[in-house]
Amino acid sequence: MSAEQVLAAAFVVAAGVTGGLVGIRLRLPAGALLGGLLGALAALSLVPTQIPPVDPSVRRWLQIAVGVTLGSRVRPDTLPNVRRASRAAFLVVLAALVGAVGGAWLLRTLAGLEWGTALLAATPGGMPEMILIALALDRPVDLVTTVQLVRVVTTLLVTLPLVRLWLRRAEVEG
Amino acid sequence: MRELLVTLTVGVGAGWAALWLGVPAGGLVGSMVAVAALRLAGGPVRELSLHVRRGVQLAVGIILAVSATWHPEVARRVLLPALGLTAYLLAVSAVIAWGVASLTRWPWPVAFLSSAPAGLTEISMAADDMGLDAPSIASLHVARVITVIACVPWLVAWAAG
Repeated sequence: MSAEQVLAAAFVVAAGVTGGLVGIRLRLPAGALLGGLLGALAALSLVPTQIPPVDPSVRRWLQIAVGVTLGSRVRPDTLPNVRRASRAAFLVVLAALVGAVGGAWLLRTLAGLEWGTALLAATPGGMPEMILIALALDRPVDLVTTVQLVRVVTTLLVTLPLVRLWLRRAEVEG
Repeated sequence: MRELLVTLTVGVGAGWAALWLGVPAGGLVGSMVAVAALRLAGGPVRELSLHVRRGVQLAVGIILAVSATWHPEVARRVLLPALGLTAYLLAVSAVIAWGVASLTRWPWPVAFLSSAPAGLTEISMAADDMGLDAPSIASLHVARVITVIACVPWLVAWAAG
């Protein structure tokens, strides 16, 4: 790797970190990921030299890091909550999986995506995890990221104000 | 310190084992399932802090930028289908919310937020802000996310034949 490439890589990483911090500050959904992605992409469009490809083992270590952080979040009090509402949990999980298959069919029909990519794009799993799985399985990450981002942002923009409105109305009526 | 060491050892070991066994996205699935199972079994697991999670997400974002090919026209091509997909998922989740409310007798906002198709972190935090039952809402989202992540790589591999 030449000195120029090292400098370019350092610039991309620094821009990614800055973008991530801005994403967190702005409270974007998955702000660190989105900010880091946008920051690094902006820097990549500016650097005149080609960045060397990332070693595949780095992606595997990232998968493990995401898996550990996610697994460690499953608190012991999650299980009693899920058990108490086991039928509801089953319904939610089933709806997520069936909904993902239906959504994949929709994306396949409307956007012409092939099944695997459509499934990753349509699945309401965690956005960072679905994107990382797309990367691990060599699927078009730009497609999956765009669809996942639209889903998360739109869902948050619709559900939270709706619930706030309902609570306000219930308060007025109550 | 011991909890952190055990968490990392189990996660890394299970992640590499799953990759070696050829599990689709095995690093993610193997480490997640092993660490979650150990924690649920009462094992010494340290929950990684928000800073660590953000650091990992940041790394994912940067690696994504430099690893994947980004076509600017993609957003234009999939924007409308993505909005259609979101409308469909919201409609499904509204029906499911009705089912959850009937099964649990939870108030409608709790049932609705529990079945929303996004935002484990954001929705749980917002529910907490609104004084709703955030632990129940977060639990259903965790069940959804964990199951989906464990199943979908297999479905994608199966779809690819």
